[in-house]
Amino acid sequence: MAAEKVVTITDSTGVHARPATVLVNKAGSFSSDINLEYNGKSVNLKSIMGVMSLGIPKDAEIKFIAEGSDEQEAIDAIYDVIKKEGLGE
Amino acid sequence: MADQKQLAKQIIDGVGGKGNVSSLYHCMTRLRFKLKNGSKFDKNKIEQLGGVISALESNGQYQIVIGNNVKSVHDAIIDLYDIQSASSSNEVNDDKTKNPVAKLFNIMSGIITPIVPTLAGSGMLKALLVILTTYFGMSEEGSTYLILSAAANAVFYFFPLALAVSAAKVYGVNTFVSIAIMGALMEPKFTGLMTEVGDIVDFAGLPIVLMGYSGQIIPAILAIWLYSYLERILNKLIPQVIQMFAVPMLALLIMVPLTAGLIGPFGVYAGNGIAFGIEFMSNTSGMLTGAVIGAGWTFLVMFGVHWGVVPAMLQNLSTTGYDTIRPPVANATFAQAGVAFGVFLKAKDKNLKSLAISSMMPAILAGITEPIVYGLSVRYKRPMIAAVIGGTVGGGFAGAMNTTVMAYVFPALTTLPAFMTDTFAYYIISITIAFVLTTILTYVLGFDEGLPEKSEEKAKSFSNLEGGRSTVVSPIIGEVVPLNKVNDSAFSTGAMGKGIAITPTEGKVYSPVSGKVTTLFHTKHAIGLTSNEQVEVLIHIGLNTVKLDGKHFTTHVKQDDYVEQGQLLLEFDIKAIETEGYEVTTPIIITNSSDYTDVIETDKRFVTKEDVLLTTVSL
Repeated sequence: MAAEKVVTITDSTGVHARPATVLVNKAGSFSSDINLEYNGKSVNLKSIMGVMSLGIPKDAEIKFIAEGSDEQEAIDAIYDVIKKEGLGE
Repeated sequence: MADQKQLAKQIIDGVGGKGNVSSLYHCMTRLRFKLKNGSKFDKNKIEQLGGVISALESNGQYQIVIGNNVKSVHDAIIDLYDIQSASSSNEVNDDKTKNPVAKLFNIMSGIITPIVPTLAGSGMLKALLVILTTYFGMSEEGSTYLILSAAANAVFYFFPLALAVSAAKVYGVNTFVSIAIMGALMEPKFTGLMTEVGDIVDFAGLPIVLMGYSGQIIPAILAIWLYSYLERILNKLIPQVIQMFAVPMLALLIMVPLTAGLIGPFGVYAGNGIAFGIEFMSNTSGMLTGAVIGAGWTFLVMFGVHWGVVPAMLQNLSTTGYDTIRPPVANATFAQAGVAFGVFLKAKDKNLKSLAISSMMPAILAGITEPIVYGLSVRYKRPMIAAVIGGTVGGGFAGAMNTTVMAYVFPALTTLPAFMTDTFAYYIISITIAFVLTTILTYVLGFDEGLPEKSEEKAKSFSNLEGGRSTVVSPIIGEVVPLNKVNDSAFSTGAMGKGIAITPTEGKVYSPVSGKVTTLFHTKHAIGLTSNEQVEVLIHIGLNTVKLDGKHFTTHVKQDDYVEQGQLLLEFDIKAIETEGYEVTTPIIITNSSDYTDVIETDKRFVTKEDVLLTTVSL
């Protein structure tokens, strides 16, 4: 069973290089496969280029999906980062 | 292991020798040197070494990219040279892993090397005296001659003392006790006991065979080696309060009789045995001995094994006054010089020509052949064959004629006087043969010229065998800034991946690879590409420029477009961006750096759009 979380981006500049890096580095610390969905596209959250390729703007609704042994911890940790960085809610 | 050792030597050679290294540590893939004099860092030479992926200079640090093997190469360097490792975290006892023969040679070299300059200088002074008496009528009875002769002879006469000092340093024992131990055997009362070598005297009821120790090598080294154990034991056993006088006292009490009775005679006989063996070899078949030495010496030096032979030469010199090994060795040297001259004559490339002639100079003037050996012979291989043949023939001739030398000198034109014995003419003929023959053979055998081809070949072999490398050319014209100097921690810490930054002088971004535009952010300040080789490159124009929300940027491509390397991707207005208070420094990041063994930055300071900026390497 996969863990999921939907987040709305509140940062005025969207998910650009810096926040993408923070998310990817956080995702990289978990063994689960973590994907990010936006606008009908799904990318690997462990790839900076993948995350940036979505070009996520402000007010976008995005979905994180983790699957693996530490899926719930991963989703929680990513959500923590998003709130802490003021990226979304 | 032997390979690592050789590579270690070549690398140290390429960074300007051991003396030029202030410190060394390694990261996952690179050796990182701090050098005293950066101009001695021979990037080209190092990059040609097998096992080296690349060499570069960054922030005053000289880096050699090795790949996964970096630790063993690093350890080999630390093992071979007394270089301070900055990463002393893994200080396992290296001595145990080293093979005993290599260790012995290292010790030999450590003891004798510091004395060599004095030996060479004294030897040349001796040669000068021979010339003065032979050609200028200086009297061998006169006091002028005797004083100069004493000057030239002292280091040989007191060789055991010089060795005692040197060995004491190597074994880490008290220098003055060491001098006293060996000095006792040369003290007038001791030497006065002997009227003839082999005389037997009584020491507390035990017989002692008397020997002359001046000029001997082995007794001193053996004695100080044993003393190093004794000193440790004494320091443990004797209470602190009386250690100051008791340790030296007991050391002398034990070591002097032991050396006089056992170690000394054994060492003298062993030394004479070696000298006799060589004498015997050169008498039986001087030609064969000479040919083998002339052919093989370069290889002995490359592996450091020549330290097994050097003591024999010194022994020859101090017991008989001449030596027959050095002249064939000289042929190896002049054969290498012949390689340089041959390459000089044959090479079409100007750089190679000048490299050849500039590496020939130290060889013929000072007998230093490393620049030729590593820069030409080993690199192009066929010249090495020429040198072996030239060295064989020249050395064989020198050996056949029993050519002699009267001093321990490096063979070169400047040290010719040391060879002015009655065989001088043969010496000149032999080195001329070695030089001319090797020059001709190098010219005839030829070599594959051109370094670029070599590195291409190397690059190919990498991709064929174990992985590959892909290049990313500069997307922007401007000045190169190391990533860790960028004023934005997201980039400077390497969190996004490895890369480099450019301070642009032109507001245009050209595609650094052929591939697909994976991301073009709506704010247009960053563009990401995935090359056909799957390298992901992110070009982030300016710092914090996301806040400009696309102002001052004009794009010429869309996300998911396929682009060719060199194609104009977007333009930006440097002045306007700077006026708004943003830095235009542009980090260029390989965001999937972790997929590669390493990402190598350019070492150019200024790049244009054709220059290779980053190279990913995988093994």
